[in-house]
Amino acid sequence: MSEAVKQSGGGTVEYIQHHLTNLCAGDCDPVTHQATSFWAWHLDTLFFSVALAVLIIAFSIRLGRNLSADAPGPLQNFVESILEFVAGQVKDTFPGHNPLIAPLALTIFVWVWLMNFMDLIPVDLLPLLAGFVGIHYLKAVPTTDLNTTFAMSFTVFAMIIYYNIKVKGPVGYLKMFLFHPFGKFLVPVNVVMSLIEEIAKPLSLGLRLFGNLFAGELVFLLIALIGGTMAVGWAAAFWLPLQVILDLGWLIFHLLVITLQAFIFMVLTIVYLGMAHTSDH
Amino acid sequence: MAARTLYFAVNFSGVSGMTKPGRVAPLLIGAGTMLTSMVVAGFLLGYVVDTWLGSRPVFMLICGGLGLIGGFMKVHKLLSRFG
Repeated sequence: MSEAVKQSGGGTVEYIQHHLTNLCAGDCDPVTHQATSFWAWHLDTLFFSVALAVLIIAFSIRLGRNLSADAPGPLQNFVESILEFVAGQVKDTFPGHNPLIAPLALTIFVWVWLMNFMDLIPVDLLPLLAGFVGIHYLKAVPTTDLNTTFAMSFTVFAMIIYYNIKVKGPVGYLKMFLFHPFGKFLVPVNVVMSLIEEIAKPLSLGLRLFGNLFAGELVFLLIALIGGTMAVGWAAAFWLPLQVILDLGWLIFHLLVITLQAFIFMVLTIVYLGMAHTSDH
Repeated sequence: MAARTLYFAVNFSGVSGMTKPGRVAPLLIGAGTMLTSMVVAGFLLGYVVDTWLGSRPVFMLICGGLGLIGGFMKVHKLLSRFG
């Protein structure tokens, strides 16, 4: 293997690793920049997720001040269509009445979608801009960080437990573990099976979102590497149209993926909370 | 009706005849994750119990197996809505 190929291979791995490393603060390894204990902060994840949340709040306040019942503008119409879509989903999938569910579902859908949308910003743009101000590591998509997806799924899980106990009562909730799914003759198996089922809820919520977005980000990085081979020699510019076509194709497909993942996270949250609200589990 | 269909689609205690595929369709995308997360959750639970009792890998295998069975049951229940 020639030295140039070795270098390009090393550069490729380095490029991907660099783009998948968070800006870590606190208890972090000085070489790998990975968290070494619980007390490590992924500043980029925190910054972008909070910034997007602030954006949603600011946008909502501004829209709320300019609401018009007689002549709604295009923006109001757009937001109303999203509201109606989410309200329809809640109406279809949520048994009973809880005024918290629809706003929660809407917040999850919009917030997760916006965090996913960060994936569609060119992979090198934000790290490059951050590099100008002395920030050498930046992972712009909060949902490609397990901490974000698990933070959300554990919050939903806490709500599931809260509503289970509130609606069914502590005894009713306990009965669910004892007699479900195989009836009263297999209580030990039922307990283990129900426990597994409950643990699987936050796991599947968090891992599904993380897995899809992380894989999507990785594909964007691999496509970006086609252009990166030009560093080896300008002859590689021959492949530039391929990168543009692949990037565009994956971007259009990924637009569907990010919407679908936000939608699934929202629907499953409603369904799980709906299950917590029914007493005939 | 639709709410109950979705509710039963992701639950064990389904009632036959309550089928409305359009409503359950989005959940099919999560069928694979549903299966794997049940297995992973089983192994996790087994790992915790084994660490507590010092009996590794007995409960990891038992709970992992139960998670696999439970995962298959859930996915089967979900897919049978389309059968």
